[in-house]
Amino acid sequence: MLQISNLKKHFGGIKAVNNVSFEIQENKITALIGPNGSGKTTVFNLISGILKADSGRIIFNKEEITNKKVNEISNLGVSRLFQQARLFNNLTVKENLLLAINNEDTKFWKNLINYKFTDEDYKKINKIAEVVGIESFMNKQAGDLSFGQKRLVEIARAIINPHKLLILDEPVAGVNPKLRKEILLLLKKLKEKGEAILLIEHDMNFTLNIADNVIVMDEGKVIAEGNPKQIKNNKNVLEAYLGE
Amino acid sequence: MIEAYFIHLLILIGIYIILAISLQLAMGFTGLINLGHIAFLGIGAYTSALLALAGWPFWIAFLLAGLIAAFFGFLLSIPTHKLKGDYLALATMGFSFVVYAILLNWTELTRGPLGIPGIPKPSLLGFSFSSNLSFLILTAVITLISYLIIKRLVTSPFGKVLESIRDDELASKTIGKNTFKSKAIALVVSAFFVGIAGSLYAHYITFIDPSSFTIIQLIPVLLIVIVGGLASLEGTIIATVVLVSIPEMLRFVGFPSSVIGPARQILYALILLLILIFKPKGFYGKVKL
Repeated sequence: MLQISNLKKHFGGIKAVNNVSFEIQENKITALIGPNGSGKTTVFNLISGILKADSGRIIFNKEEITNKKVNEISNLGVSRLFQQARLFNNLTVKENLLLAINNEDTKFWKNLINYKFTDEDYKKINKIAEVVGIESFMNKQAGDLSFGQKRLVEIARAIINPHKLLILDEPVAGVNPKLRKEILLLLKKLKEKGEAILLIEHDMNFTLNIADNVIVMDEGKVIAEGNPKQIKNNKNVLEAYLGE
Repeated sequence: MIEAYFIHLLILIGIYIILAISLQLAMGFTGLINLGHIAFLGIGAYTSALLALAGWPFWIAFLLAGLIAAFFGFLLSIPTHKLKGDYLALATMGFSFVVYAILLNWTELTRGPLGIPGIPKPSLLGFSFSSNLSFLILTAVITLISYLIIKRLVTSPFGKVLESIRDDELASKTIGKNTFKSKAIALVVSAFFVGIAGSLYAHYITFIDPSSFTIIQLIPVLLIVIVGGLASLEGTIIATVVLVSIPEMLRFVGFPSSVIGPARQILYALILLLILIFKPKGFYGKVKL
């Protein structure tokens, strides 16, 4: 459902993403791993339109999305979780989630005349809040939450945002082991429902446990691709990433 | 005598409330630090004054004052849509200087520094608002309508979209919001209301010149927004009443008018300092500066 071919992005003399090609399939969890600075987040920024590619193509659901605007790509069905917290801190958790439901809220005249969220909208966010385990602080301000709580709210928001592909940048970084397990189960559940997930994660245990397919990057290039078993035994990967 | 003075004060408060809540829409809710706000007041005032003097009925001049200011709000939103924080403040400040320079130098239209005297008092359906009491009622009605519309907007889901842009524009785009469009709407609506406030001002004072629309005149409005608290309309209204009235009290203590001007500025500076140190969110604000 997502095909990336010959993608390139340079920052000055640094080739952050250098001729990267890979593909992601429906009903699968794909993990993108690699040492710090290997270009993983840059690939994410290119997919979600935050950065413009120098060359190469990104095709999503048979549609070219290379260099489209961030909101357009989101509305085509790519939902992104950032590495750092990006909640709307002065809004409540509930408001943060309601914003992601659809874009009726951007219609000026409709809102001025009379537009309210429906019971169905509330049901939808409450259901996901329950699954993610954040229903107890729905009315709290997002800025007052702890790091782990913020992470869960962001994951919930990314899930509520209508999508066919979830791209998650380090969803469990800095999250305690119990929550980690819950997030793992949640992602597996989403996969069973037919979603495609692409994630960046440094925790090898977590990654190899969850991924169907692993792509390894180093210095802007893809150096290996395969199922977790193959990756565990790949010499290049051991050298570049695990330092053995 | 004292009664006439209070009516005058209340009219000023009404005009200031529209100015402040419309700035609140752009700055407090959408996070757009718009120092060009005062330029829309000038555009509205000149539009309305020139049309009225050319014989147009008041209500058309009044509405066009809002619409033309809104159009300039839209124009301003195009080049500034990628700017944030300090950079946006500087760019919009530039806009206010440009508008001031045009008002000052396009003498064929604006009479430049001589200003425009003899702006007629408004009349509607044969009724003339020439007494200050009737003008106060007109101002109160327009202020109330402005407040209700802005209130409706910021409490609707659209208001939350604006707040999401203020808190994190990239995150807002990532969940699919066209933030360029939403920010443009916020600026357009904000400019519309300042424009009609400008019309009220012109027809009340009956004389305008470019010096009423400089960045210096924006400082009390900024102060009101900060003291009232970002993203709080009620706080803004209370702050307007208090901050417009306080310097007037100096008159009653017996200060001569030559002292009141500078004393007002010292007082405003002092209040701003104290607020920033002790109450950075303002009195009713929920949002950190």
